[in-house]
Amino acid sequence: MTTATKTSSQLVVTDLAVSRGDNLLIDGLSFSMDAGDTLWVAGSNGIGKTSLLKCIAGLLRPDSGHVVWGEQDVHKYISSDTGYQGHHDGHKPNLTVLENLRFWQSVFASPIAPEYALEQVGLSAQINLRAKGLSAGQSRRLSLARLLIKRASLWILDEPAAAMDAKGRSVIHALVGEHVASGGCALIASHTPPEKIGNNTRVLTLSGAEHE
Amino acid sequence: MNSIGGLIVRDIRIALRSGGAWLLGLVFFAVFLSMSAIALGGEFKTLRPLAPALIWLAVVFSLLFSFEHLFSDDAEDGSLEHIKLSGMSMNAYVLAKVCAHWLLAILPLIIALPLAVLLFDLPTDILLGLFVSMVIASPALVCYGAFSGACLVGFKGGGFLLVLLTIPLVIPVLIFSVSGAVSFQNASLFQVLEFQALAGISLIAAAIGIPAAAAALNTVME
Repeated sequence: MTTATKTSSQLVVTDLAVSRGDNLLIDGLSFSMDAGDTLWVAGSNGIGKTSLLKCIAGLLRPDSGHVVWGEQDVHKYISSDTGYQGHHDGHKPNLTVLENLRFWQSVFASPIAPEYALEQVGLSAQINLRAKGLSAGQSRRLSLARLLIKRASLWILDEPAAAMDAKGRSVIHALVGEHVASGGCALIASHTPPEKIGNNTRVLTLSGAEHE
Repeated sequence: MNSIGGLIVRDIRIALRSGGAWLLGLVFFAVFLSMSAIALGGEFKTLRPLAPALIWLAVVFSLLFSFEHLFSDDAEDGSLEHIKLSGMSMNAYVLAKVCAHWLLAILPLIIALPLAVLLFDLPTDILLGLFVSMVIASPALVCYGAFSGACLVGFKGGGFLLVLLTIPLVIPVLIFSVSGAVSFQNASLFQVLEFQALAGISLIAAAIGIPAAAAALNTVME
C-alpha cells in the first residue's frame, strides 16, 4: 500500500449519514479539511462522536454519503494514511511497552524507533514494563506513541485526553500542534473545552436529531 | 511479509506468557485418551483397533475449543482496527493467525503423538500413518476453524455455535484421516487414496477458509 502524497491531503465529507443499530445518529453532514486544519468534535454522550470518527477512518460504513481522504473514498479503499486512536488502546497486556510498539512498527513498516516515540510521550521509564502494569493514562500515552510511529497525515483521536493528567493533555496538544504545523490534519473528539491548535482550528458541535 | 512474521512472533510470545493457557489443548488431548483407555477396560486387545479413531477424536475435540479466541481477542481490544488501517490485507492477517495457531495448537499434538501411541501399544506403522494424516489434515482443521471463529467474533458465548458450525466441515477430514492412518500400514505414502483426498481437502480449506475468514472479519467490524 502506498501512502497518499502530501499534495492531496484533503478530507472531504459529503452528505454523511451514520447510524448505529436502528438509531440515526448523524444525517446530512458535510465539511472539508485541508492540510494544517484541526477540527474538534463536541457533543454530549451518545450523540455519535465515536461513530462519526470511525466512519471517517473507514472502519464503519455510512448509511449514505462519502468520505474522501487523499482523493480516495475510504470506504472503497481503506486508507493507510490514517492514524486512529479509539476507545480501546489495543495493547497486549502480557507484552512489554517496547514489545507492543515493536510489533506495530513491523506492521506499519515504519522507520521511527519505538524508543524515540516513547520519549516523546513521556513513557521512557516504563519501557520494559508489561502493558498490563500501565495506568489508564499511561496506556493512552502508549497509544499516542503508536500514532507517532505510524506517521499518518490524518489523525483521528477519540477522547485522547481521557484519564490523562494535565501534563498528558499538554503533551497531546504539543504533538497535535507539531503534526498540523507539518501539514497534517487532526480530528479530535473531546469533552474538554476545545483549544486553539495550529493556524486553523474549528469546532464541530453535534446536536441531537429531532427524532430519537 | 515482515508484518506476517511480526504477527506470528507476537502471538507466540503472548501464548508463552499466558501462564500455560495455550497448553490446554494438549492437556485435554492427554486426559481424553487416558480416560478413554480406562473406560474401555484397559485391555490392549480391545483398545488397539479403536486407538486411531480415539486419537483423532481427541485431536478434533481439543482443537474445537481453541478457535473461539483466535480472532476475538484482537477484535475486542481494538488491535484489529489498527491492523486494518495499517494497509495490511485481511488475508495476510488471517494467514498469520492461522500459522501461529498451527504452531501453538497442532504442533504440540503432533509432538505428543508417540506418547499417545505408546499408551495404546500400537505398531510403528500406525504411528507413522497417524503422523502423516495429522500433518496433511491439519491445515484443513485450522482453516475451517479460523473461518468459524471469524464468523462468531463479537458473539458473546459463541463457543457453542462455533462447535455446530465447525463439526460438519471437519467430519470428512475425520473420516479420511482415520481410515488413512490405518491403511497406511501396507502401502507407500502416495498409494494411500485417503491421504490424497486429505491433501485436496486441506488445499480447498486454505483456498476458501482464509479469504472467507477475512471477509467475515471485515463484515463483523462494520
